[in-house]
Amino acid sequence: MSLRIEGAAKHFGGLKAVDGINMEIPFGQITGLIGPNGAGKSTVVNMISGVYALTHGRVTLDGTDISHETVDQVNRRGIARTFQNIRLLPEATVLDNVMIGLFRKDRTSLAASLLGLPSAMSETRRLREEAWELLGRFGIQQYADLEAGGLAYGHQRRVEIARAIASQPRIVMLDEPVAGMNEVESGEMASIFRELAQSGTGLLLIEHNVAFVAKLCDRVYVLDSGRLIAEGDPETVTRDPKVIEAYIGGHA
Amino acid sequence: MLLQQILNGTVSGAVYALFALGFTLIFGVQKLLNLAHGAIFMAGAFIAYYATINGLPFWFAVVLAVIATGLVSIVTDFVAFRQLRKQGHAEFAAIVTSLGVDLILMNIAQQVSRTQVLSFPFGTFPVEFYRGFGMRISLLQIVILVLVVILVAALYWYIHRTSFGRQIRAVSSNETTSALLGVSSQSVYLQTFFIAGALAGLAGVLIGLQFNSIHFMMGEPFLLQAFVVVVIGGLGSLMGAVLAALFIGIVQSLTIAYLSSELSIAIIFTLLFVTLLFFPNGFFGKADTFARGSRR
Amino acid sequence: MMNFYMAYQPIIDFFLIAVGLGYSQQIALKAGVFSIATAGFAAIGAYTSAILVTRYGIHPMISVFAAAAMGILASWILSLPLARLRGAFQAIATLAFVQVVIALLLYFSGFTGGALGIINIPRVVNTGWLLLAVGVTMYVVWSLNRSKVGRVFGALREDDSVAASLGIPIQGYYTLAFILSGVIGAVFGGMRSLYVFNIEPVDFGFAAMVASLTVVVLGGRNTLLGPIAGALIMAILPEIARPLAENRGILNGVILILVITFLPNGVGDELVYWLRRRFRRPSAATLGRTVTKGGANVSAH
Repeated sequence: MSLRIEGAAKHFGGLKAVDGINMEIPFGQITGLIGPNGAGKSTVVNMISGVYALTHGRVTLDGTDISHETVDQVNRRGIARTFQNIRLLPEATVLDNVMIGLFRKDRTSLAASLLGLPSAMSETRRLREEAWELLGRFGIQQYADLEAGGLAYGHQRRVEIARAIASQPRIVMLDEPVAGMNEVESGEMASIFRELAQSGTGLLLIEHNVAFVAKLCDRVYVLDSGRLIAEGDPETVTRDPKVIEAYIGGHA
Repeated sequence: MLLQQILNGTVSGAVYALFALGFTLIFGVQKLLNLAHGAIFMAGAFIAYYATINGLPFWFAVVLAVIATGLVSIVTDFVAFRQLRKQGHAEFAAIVTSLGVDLILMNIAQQVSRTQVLSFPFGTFPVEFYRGFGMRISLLQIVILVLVVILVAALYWYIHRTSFGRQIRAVSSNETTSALLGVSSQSVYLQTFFIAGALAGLAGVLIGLQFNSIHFMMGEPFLLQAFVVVVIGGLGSLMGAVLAALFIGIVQSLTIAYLSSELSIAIIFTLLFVTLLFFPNGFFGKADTFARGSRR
Repeated sequence: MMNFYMAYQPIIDFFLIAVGLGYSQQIALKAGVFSIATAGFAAIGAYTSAILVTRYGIHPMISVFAAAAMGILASWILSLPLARLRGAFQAIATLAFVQVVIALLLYFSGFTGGALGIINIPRVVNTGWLLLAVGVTMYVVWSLNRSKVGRVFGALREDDSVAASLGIPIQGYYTLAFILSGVIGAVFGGMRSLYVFNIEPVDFGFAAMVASLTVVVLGGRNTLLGPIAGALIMAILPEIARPLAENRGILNGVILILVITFLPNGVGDELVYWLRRRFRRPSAATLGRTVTKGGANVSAH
């Protein structure tokens, strides 16, 4: 019952962005992936989500190899993501952004959509309703009718996370979800993430903020220069001398 | 017969190369398609024609046409592209605005020429032929070939051996970074558009001479031809454009001679489709033409 | 009213044809496909109808359905290379498609009449039929704007890699947009041929391509009003200013540049957006809810 990455590597020409890593992201738990800038964290997300082809290794979901599937196929397996540099549909409203996240739950047939059958219209109402509820959960209902591109950074993050979890994926990969948020805001996000995990979703939290990860994660992986240098429970990992050195070395 | 057709095709291809080089240069720097390029080519022929019939020496008319079309091209940049560069999402908008410039230039030319087909007065360029190896070549064809070889070599040198070339490459890879490095993107755009326009203008004069026919719609088939050339050569690749232009010139000459001119057009555009399908980056290009949804 | 119709009937009819072809152009752009193939689809539809009616005595109504079928076939085949390309390359490929269609119409002159085209086509299409066709097209566009397909097209237009990351099979939807563009273009091409008595390849060349593009750029690429607004302006402008008719090229050119630079959404779309901002009830009201959290239980706005 998990997403597994086995011996996965991604080379760009001579550059080994990710060089043979093994990870497991179990459902119903929060897994952390930390590491200094340029360690290859986002590359891992892109390898899982179908943006990059793997140079070596494979990605499996419940034992099924998904390493050759395309971006949309991977998502339809129930693996959702957010982007490090937030990517909303900037001209669409906040509500429409979340509604498009409900695509996988949209049961409108092609004929109904083109012929304007009542079923298509009622499905649209149902999804609006559901998107609205989700905005409430993230405390951004009052922005529902605004263009998403015009929101403050922190609110854009929330819209993107709401969109990613809208179709109730089994795995969500969150790339720096609390970047640019203050203590209170990131606290609100943390409780949403816990609820998600309790409802059975597996979360992969890619973060820079070690404290946030340590507080929230069941298990943490540390990536440095494309290799895993430590893994385990947050407490052990954050005390690991190799990790401390990678962080200090990375910042010096 | 066959060799003669290949020779004629090479000469046509050499002129296509002049046209396509400017088109691909602009794409290389801006990542935008300039649909007004065909009308600028036409303007070159028009300016040289009117200068000649008004008594100016032919060589001066050519120089005038080349400089004027360079300037028209710069104006095109101002009118069609400058605003869009600031906005982003310019890919579609640029197709529309440059099409707008194209329509305006064609309409002006139509009014000026009263929709007539014009031709240079007899004797504007000496009509002489040379024979050898069973082929016949005109003085004009020789001049065209020599001129194109010199210009392509000069452009190659300018872009690969001078500081301007480095600036072009800096701006085309990333405008923000190049601004940080102190490269003035404005000056690069001005030079790029001038060179592109001047080359197209010269191509217009040469085609006007060769076929002895100048009219306001003459740019259209050349623009379409240029699409085929740059797609096969790889959009943004100068060497690719030259080789593809020669290839297309020869294919066209042979298909017209042995099949028919309509079929020739169909064959050439089918080549474009096949290239897009199987070699979307062309044969010499590095441009990222595509890759959507699939792993890379 | 009746007098107005009598006086301007040809303008009204050509306006309706322009609206139809405008929707064909718009639906591709709506999904973010830079197709300018509408003129080519119109040519295929026009020749299918004209040849079936004049040469084989097929009923005009059936010939229009045959035109629609040919439009679907041609756009589906063309979508295969197109779905693999990005932006500018799609524009080049569709432009080339139009050229190939015209070259083939000229080449197979035994069948298509070559440069002279097809003459003596019966005029069976009238304002009523055109209104019906525009009405049906508008209904389909209206429905898809309000349901799943419209939502997906919007996402594709704004960012197709995000759309893919949300599980949308983007190639399939690009193909759908293109086929819709093809079938609408072919139907209106077919109806046009049954209106104008004779057709030639040049009717579907560069000028036709520019015309459809102008209608949509001017009117708007997104809303139902877009093509209507665009076609209306293009029909009225030469009427109110006769000297402009001579310089149609300059007029079109200046309009294209000004509109896309300063009103990039087009006149019709901007109008609709303005009305929506002014009069639309907020989502909370539509859903009969109050805003919770953050908004401290006040209704939005």
